[in-house]
Amino acid sequence: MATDWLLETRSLVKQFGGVAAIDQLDLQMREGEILGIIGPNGSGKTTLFNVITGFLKVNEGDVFFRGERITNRAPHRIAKRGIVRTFQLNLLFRSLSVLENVRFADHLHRQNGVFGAFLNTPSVRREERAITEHAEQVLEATGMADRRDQLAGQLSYGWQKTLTLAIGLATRPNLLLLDEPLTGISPSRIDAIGSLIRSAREGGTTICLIEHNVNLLMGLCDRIVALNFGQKMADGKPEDVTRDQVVIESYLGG
Amino acid sequence: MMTSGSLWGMKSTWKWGVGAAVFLFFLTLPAWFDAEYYLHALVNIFIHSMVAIGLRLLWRTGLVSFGTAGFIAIGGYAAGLLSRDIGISFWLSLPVAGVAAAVFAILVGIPTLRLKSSYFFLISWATGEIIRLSFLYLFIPIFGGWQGFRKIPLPDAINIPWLWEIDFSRKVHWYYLAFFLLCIAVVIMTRIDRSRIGTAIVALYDAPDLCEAVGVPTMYYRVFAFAMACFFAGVAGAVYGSFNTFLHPESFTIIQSIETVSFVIIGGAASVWGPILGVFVVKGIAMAVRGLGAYEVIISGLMMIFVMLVIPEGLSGLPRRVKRYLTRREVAEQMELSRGD
Repeated sequence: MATDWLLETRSLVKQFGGVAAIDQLDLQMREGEILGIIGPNGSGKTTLFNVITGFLKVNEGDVFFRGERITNRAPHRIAKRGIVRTFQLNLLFRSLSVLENVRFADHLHRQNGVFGAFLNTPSVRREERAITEHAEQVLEATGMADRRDQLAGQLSYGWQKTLTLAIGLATRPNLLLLDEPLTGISPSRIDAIGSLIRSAREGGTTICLIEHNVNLLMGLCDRIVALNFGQKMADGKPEDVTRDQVVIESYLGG
Repeated sequence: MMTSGSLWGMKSTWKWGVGAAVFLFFLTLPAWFDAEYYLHALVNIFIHSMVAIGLRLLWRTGLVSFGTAGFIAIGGYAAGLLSRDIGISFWLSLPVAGVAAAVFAILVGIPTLRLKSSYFFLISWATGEIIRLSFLYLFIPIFGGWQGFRKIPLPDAINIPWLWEIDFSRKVHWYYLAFFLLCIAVVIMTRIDRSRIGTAIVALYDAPDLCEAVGVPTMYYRVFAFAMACFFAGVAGAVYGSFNTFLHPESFTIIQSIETVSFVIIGGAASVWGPILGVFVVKGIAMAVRGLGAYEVIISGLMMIFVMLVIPEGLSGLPRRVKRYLTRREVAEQMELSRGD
């Protein structure tokens, strides 16, 4: 069944011990959009990411990427198709430097195999230089250039969060799933992160982000989906979703 | 203030200097210290070092194998069979022994390396025991069972014209063989560390989920590390068998596997030199307290606990720890001074 959607879930169900965290969810992502996902704690936002990226197995339903079924594939195979996610808790390569984190994340664009890497062939050296250059661009763009030699584990919380985003961007994904990318970022840098996300979209990456603070999404997203108990509560333009009576009652505390 | 560039330069020259001095020391050692007893001990130390630096790679992925002795046995028996019963040269059976152990590791590793590290620990233990018991009770006419595997031939002589004929009749020949193989192992491991494979292994330890998320197949690298560790164990086993001309399953019990792990823990896994230092320390102490029998194991066990509690990064991490302490004191002193202003 051909579809125009970049990513689509059909009647997706994920249960934990009989309780549905995702309940018959049909969700679509359009190529080139910035989609925000909101919802109260436990509404299934992160579970949705885990299911799409293969970190959790689906109970029922399917995930399609560009019309192709990718349900329950291994995470690294899904990443190979250009679907890359970040993690809510600052999951980083803590004992590597900032630069090495970003360089390592560029894994999917390596052409040379492990044996070539071991022998350090001229083509490997060329590739490593190209990867360093790209990583430096990413660090420049994310404002982390002067922190490149610091260990990731020694960064402040906000910079760790920025680094998770830099890692995501370094993979040059088709679809980037960001789990609360703005939490813990200092207010003065929120706009910078927002424009970073926007420019990634200009570069051809579709973005889907989970965020708790709805106000942060207003100027950023093209569309917002509100989840509750693993079901879609609202789906539409940001101003419509935030005006939706059901959303206000269950989430915005109106 | 010193720039980080010159500091790095100094540091690496210093390291190269020490490395070259150690290399020259062991290269020339038999020329001025030809004591059979100590050369014999050093051959064993080099063989164990090869095993230890292999195991370090697996350790760095966050896993530990307690079945290493079994893989040493596979290498020893494989090379023994090939050279004794089939008549293949030792020089060919040596790499084949490593590959045999590595292939077995891949077969065991694929279903088990995805398990939690505590389960893998138990399975590796069981694997080691199964291998040992197989050599004890299966194919007794070939493996020899309780009699052991006997009459393993010596390696073919190497003739370096006008210089030296190495026919493995003397300990010094074995010393150079083991030393040469250990040097190759060190070079291979250093190359792995410095390539992106080394980075992947560190990353795998830090955050396996993030590795998967950016498209790195974590299982591949786990299996690779386990296979590499067992390859070196297999090669070491082949040398061990030919050196002793005899193998017995009882040389490959869980105690031997634990000892191998102790090399990595005591020496430290940060660099390839750590586990080698670990072998020298553990084996050195064992030689010093020889004759105490079971106390050897108790002493290395106590040392393992001591190192894990006091210097978790191992003995090779000690200089860095001292340096950090000194710089911290220096900084504290300067702060004290500036407060006086």
